[in-house]
Amino acid sequence: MMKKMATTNDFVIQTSGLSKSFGETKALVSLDLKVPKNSIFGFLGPNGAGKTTTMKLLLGQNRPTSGSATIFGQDIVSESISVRARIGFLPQKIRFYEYMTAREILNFSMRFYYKGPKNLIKQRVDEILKMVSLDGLADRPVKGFSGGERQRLGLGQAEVNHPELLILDEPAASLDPIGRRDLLKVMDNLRKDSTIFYSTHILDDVQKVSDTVAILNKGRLITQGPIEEILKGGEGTVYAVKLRGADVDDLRSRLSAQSWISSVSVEQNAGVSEWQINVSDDEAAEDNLLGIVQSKGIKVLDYGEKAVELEDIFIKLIKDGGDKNVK
Amino acid sequence: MSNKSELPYVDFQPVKTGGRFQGLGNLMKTEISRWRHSLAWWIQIAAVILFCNGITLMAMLGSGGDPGIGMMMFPLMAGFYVALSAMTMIQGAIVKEKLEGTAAWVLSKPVTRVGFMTSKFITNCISMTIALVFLPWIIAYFQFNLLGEPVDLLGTFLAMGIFWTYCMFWLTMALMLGSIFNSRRPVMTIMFTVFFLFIAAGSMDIPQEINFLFWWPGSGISNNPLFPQSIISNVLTGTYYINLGPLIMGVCSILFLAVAYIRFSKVEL
Repeated sequence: MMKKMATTNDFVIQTSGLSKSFGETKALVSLDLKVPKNSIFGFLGPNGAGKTTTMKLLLGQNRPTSGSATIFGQDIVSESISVRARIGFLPQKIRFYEYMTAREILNFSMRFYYKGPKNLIKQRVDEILKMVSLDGLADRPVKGFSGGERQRLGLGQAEVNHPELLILDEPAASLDPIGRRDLLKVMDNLRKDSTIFYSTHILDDVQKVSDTVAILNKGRLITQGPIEEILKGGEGTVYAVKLRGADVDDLRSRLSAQSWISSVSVEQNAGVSEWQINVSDDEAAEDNLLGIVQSKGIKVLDYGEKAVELEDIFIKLIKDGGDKNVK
Repeated sequence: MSNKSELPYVDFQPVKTGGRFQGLGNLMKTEISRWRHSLAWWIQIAAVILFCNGITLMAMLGSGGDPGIGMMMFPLMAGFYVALSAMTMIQGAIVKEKLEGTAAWVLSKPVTRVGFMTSKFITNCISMTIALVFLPWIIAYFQFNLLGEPVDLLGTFLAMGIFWTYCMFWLTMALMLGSIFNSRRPVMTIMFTVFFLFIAAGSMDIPQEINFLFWWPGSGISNNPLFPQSIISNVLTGTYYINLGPLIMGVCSILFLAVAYIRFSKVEL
């Protein structure tokens, strides 16, 4: 059977050399991004990396300095209105008309997409209010809402039009842990019908729900790809070993002599040494590593494969400045 | 939070996309509803009547029988009030939404920038026309006829029209400056400077040939027939003639509005 080739239809967002400068400041430099359909795409990067700028460009709120981008195959500049009719957006700091109630905000948002029938629009508004747990506050002006309530209303207004693509800029930023957990659940459930492109600093959340990620730094794309590949591509397998009574220099030189060990780092504390050993060949490591560290006079306190965290990869990639690209 | 939709998605009637004024209807509906339900709007109406018609009434009652005092006083007061109102309330129509981020939120929906700007222009125009032109002028018509020099209805409507171009001058200037600048300070500074020039023009010895450049309903105290207030007094009593002042105001308004549209189409939100 032939392996399915990726076509342009498989990607909801595609950017090509997308760049944005504000005067002398280059906010985004030649971004080539591909967001697969029905993915939950985590868009990561430190503050000022260019994440919000990218989102604003996609929404037609800013114009690219150079390059181009399409959403659903439509140009983000010339066909911005029909693109926006199919997407939902939650900005980083959402601001509503403060005199409006939550119900009025949703009604107002709905009318940009649907002209009727009235009863369905009303039902949809009620449904959304329930979805974001604001049914009890539906008729209160939003000026009295807390940050979390605003954020939930923001998510609701982004969802009113059954969007094919949801663009969320830091959606969990002002949510409490329960709100965050609920948000992740909603995002996961939406995967069937929508593509979610979201930025966040909470890497733990990304690892939980995202299937694809891109990391941006100083306006440049460092890496993008399926999360498993990113995790694999960062360091390979890492073993964490805790030993008592080891001759650190001797063991380090014995480990470094192995061709399947790519790097070794050690920290010592009160006679206990904690080792992080990166291996490039999993099989060789399984067969030989324990034998090497279990020498005479050394007590193995802890030994095992360390789960690679996205946070480690993220910090490393940002520190490296993007030398090791995984594409 | 749960997200299961039980509603038949296909039964919704989508809004057609592709129009130049996409989103205008919804924005206008919301904006007009805001005006109607806002206490500030009703206070505005009460204040303009109290300020313009009230002071005119006092002047007429205290003039000792001068029939023309009302016609001089009313455009003066109304002119001041419109400028102040534009500087305090309408100047924020665009710049406030840009600063607070509501413009960015609305424009993340399928709304054209032309639609957004048009909604601001039309709704503020309707609001100004009712609150600052129509109601006070109709009251003034009865004031003039009951207590001062009789004025005819056609003349009153013509005077209203001239005054309306003056209102549009301030409204469109506020929209234009709001689309150019990202803070209230330059908007207010420029509007105050123009306001000050208009006031100063009334008391300066300006060559007759360029009087019309300083069109100001209240600056015709000198009874110079080229001053707009003189025109207003004349049309109220049935003497109609063309003057460049109101025409220039109209042309300026169109230019300001054009700049506002062009500039807003390029604004980075």
